[in-house]
Amino acid sequence: MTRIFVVLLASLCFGGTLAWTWAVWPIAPGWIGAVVLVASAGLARWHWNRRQDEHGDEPGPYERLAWHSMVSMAVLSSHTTASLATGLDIHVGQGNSLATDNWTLILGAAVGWIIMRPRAIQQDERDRQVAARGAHASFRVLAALLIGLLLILGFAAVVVTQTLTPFVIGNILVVFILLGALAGRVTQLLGYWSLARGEQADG
Amino acid sequence: MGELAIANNLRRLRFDHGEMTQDALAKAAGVTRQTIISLEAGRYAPSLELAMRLALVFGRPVDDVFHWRTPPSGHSAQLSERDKQ
Repeated sequence: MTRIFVVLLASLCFGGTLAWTWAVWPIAPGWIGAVVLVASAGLARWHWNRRQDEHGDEPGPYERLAWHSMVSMAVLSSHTTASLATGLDIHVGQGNSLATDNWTLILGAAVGWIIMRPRAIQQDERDRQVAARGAHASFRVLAALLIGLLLILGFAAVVVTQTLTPFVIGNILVVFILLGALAGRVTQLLGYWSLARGEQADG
Repeated sequence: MGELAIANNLRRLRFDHGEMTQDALAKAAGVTRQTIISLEAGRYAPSLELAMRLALVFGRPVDDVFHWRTPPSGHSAQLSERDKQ
């Protein structure tokens, strides 16, 4: 379980760092993020292949997908959140660099999945059960975030609501969708973890 | 997640069936190997359909594959009576 939260925290920090320090990177931060996503996917594939050969306890296809989605969504959501927090205009600010960065990160995540993807993808009832738990958590987190935003829009001081332009609200909603999905993936991974404790594989 | 009320004899049955691998059982039952691992570890309770498919692989009744670890209260006597029969 610790591994799940360590990877989550590292991904969130990495995405945030890309946005906060956009000015100091020698190349566009989106490319750096994409390269790291692709490299980490390759590393994960190598690690799981080794576990498969040595212990036979590698994660199944949908658990791999959950890992990949969690990392990608954590990087993307923290990158977008940090961008909003610094007051940068995501789509028109900095010569479109932040929009480009986001799409480059998505490209990196897609290439990462192609690298990490196992040959055969089979979903069984255990995967469906874990996915249902994830979807439930995702829905609850999204609902809670939306209620929070509604309260702010309805009751916050004018000085706060003035900053919430339709454009900012739109981007906040994008972040909420990503965070909801992220909560779902974390719940999925916790589900897989709880189902695998004490396991013994014979290959 | 605590210990499940239902246990199984999958590991023993696999070995009784020519040391069948988890992978072979997974393929025969139409699930992933990770699901067989979770079942054998007692971490996952299968659906009735999967339980019956697994029993079918071994050619045994479901009762031979899955059994109560701790019978629900009030049913212990009924289970003992049935076992005698």
